[in-house]
Amino acid sequence: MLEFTVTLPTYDEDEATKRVLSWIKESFPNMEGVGFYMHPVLMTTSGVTPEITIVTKTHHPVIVRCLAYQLDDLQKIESDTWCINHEEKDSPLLEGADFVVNIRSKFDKDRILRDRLKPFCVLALPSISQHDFNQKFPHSLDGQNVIWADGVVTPICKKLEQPLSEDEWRRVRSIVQGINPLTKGIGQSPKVATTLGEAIRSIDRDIALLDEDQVNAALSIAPGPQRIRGLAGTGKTVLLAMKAANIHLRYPNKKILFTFNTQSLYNQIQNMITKFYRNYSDKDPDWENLHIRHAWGGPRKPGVYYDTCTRLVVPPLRFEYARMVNMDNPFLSCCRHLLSCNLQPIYDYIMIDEAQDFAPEFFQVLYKLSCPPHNIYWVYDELQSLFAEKMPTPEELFGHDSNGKPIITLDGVAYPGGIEKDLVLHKSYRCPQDVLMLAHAIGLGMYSNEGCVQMLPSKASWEGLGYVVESGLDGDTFVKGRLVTILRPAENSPNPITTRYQGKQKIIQAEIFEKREDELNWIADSIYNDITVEKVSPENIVVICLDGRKMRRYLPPLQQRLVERGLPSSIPGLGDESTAFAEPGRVTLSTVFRAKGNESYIIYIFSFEALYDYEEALQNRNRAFTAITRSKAWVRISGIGKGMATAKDEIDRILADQPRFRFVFPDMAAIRSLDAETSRRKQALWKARENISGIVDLDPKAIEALAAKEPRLFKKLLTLLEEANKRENK
Amino acid sequence: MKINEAMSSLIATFHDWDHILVNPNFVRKEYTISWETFVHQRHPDIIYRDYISELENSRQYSFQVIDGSIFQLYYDYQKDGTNLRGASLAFFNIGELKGIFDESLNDDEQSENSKFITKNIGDAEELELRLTGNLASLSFDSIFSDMPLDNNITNFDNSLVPWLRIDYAPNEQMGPLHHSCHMHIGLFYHARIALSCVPTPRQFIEFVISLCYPDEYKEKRLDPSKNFEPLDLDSMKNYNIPCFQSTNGCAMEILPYIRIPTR
Repeated sequence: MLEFTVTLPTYDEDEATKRVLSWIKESFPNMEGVGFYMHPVLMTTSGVTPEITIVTKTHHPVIVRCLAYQLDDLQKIESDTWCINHEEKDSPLLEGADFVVNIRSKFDKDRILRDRLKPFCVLALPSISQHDFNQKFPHSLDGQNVIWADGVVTPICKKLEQPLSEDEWRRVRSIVQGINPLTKGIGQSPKVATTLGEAIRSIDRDIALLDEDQVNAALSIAPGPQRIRGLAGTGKTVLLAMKAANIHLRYPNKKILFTFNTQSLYNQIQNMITKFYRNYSDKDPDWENLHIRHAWGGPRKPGVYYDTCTRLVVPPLRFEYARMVNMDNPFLSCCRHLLSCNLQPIYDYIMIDEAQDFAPEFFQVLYKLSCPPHNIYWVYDELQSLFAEKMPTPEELFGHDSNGKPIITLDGVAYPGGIEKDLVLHKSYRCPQDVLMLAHAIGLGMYSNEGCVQMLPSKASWEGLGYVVESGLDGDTFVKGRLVTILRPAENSPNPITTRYQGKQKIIQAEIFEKREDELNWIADSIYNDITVEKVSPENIVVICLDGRKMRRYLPPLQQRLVERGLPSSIPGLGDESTAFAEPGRVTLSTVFRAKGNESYIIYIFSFEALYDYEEALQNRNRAFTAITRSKAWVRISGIGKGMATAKDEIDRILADQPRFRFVFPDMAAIRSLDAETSRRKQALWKARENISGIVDLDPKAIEALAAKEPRLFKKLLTLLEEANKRENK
Repeated sequence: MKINEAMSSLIATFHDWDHILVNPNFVRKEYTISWETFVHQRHPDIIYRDYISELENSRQYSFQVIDGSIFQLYYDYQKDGTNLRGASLAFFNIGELKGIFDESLNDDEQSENSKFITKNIGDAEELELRLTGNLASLSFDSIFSDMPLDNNITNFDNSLVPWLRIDYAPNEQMGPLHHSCHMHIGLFYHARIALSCVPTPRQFIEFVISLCYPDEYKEKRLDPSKNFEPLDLDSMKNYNIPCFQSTNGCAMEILPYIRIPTR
């Protein structure tokens, strides 16, 4: 079957192309291949794009230039120009030749495909009969491949002597999708490996390819707001970067904004956009028109807030003051500040990465900065729906007008051309299935002895994450206290590591240690083994400290151990968050937050006992989720004491049930009250710390006096302290 | 002090303090001790955070402190590996105002954006405390309209960085105000405080830590039970063996100067 992608909404009005495409589909109902209406990046120097591009496994690639003209529209046909409606235009045949040269050069750059494919162009004049045309312009199209009004489309078929192999077919699709700049290897990669290093190199050489959902997300240009949802590892940032590059290629004079929340992503996004852009252009993007901006910004780096203030000649708020107004979310103060100003639209396209990190006010600012029809595309990590009761609707994000009507809604039919308003990316490529399921189970606390801390409340939300609810439902809803079984089908986690690596190392490993020193020694030894025996490049190893507040205590001694073993390492972002992550030749030591937006083949997560921290239990589950989902292959978890023993037990039970989750559905009301419980615990801990500090600072004689005067109270205190101490050391 | 002794001093001192010093990047290349990807750079007089970020991003440092502060140690020897031709020892302090291991400040999730915007959270907190009582009654606009304009605008992400640097350039000596070995201190634009000799790596690192990280210095080097006297005075005195030769010049005869201990 032909997978056909419409990239522009003009398709609905393009009757000539629709007619030709219907002829092609009728004539070749079994055609296996991919096609594009208005290929996103094939174009002539004057900006003309071919209406139809088709590649198949069995035929040479064909480009169809569809012209809607009637015979009367054409006055003169010459070799280099046509006179159309009394206007001289480039010959469509020459434009076709440009497309051919363009796409052929892409195929020929690939060693495997070189000289294998001979793309060609076909002219389609579906409103003109061959007979009438030849009478008016005899011999002018002799020898050319033309589709006429009779609907005969055989000119598009030029069979390959040998059909493409699977590998060749992947390469061809990768090139026409424009994702090929992300393919790292040249030539074929070994399919089985027994060391970690070999397996990593093998996967690294895989051909980058988009699935159907991703093609739609990256290549279609919606004529209005569009939401793209997906889990970690579904390629959201890459797709958005590709979209930005493609739009900039097609409309170089349009103003485009790409905004995001994690500063360390800046270079990564800029590099990706440049790569995609340069795949089709010999210049760098025009950064005057394509703005990559952190949401905040400052004199050091431009950003949406800072730039807008500068443009409006309005003093930006200092962080301190923004924080005074809103302790939890100072950026909200900045957005409200902007909303109180007279914002003018300047952007034709706005792309928002990490949309789940932003408050509705930021969306409202961006709406005001966007020109009609408000082409705002935002990618939303489904993670948010793990940790929030529900994802905010577009109506909640963008607000309502003075009549109470939603400013933006994604309801109703798709945009013209079938371009979706709300896309879901179902497949998570980064994490192996076991790893992703472990992350979800830990994040939600489904196997925790203390019960779930968070929960996906509906069948639809589980399905959105790529799961199938097998049992435990009452109709379409979950019932408190009922045993639930949920399956993750293997096809939704197509990470190749389990088939590619056939060595002895487990994908997930959990280790308990008595002392921190032992844990750090084990990590250093294990990394030494990874690098010297398993031949893993140091940049493919990231160590994450789960307990963010202790990173300054734990990371230096770990680095010291690596130095002792002759292993270079780096703790990036100590002073500047945008410092490069995963530098070549160095192991990366990081906090969870700094690791956000990054990924690696081997992830070590240590101080994992913090999962059971009294005060930070909920936050640390979220951190553990983020840390685990950084892994493209192996996860090694370690910690100390009874906290880690409990964590290991939890991990073992999760792994034993895979590929399913089996758990008793929790009371959602209790889960909703967890935030309050966290606040209560913080207060209780603060109070305990204050009171005990008070006791420690007391005059010892006063304590002696208390023992004498209030023996019962004194004994109770001693018992409490002793019991706590015993439990801690158990 | 020969170049191999200077390098040993650097490595040993780094290891002594490696619970707070990280990202070692120092290297010896022929007759120079500097850092990987070393680039000659003349630092501006006024240094902002963005400049330090550039140094960090391009790894222009010998090593860092875990709070992100930067050490640059550069010694250039004559071809005999014995006599020093020049040196530049710098420290750029971007650490938090509070303790290095203050856990509430180290929660990067909480301070992520604050790091981006400013490092002066301490000030903000103070200000907040002062205003807390009135904050609830203040509208958003009124808070900002009350602030002087220059407090509201710009530089919010580009705070000034305290720094100090010791230069040794015997060929550039010019009378008592420009001694061959002198220390610059950030914002004291033309100040050159004469030094009796070039500090060894050990002396410089210990000096900076004692000055900027007194809690760490106390914990490692001093005895709280004896009124913070040195834990082991004799071995600490030995840190000054070997050392560099004394510098000469009239500065030390007519103006106060910094004496570098030698043994």
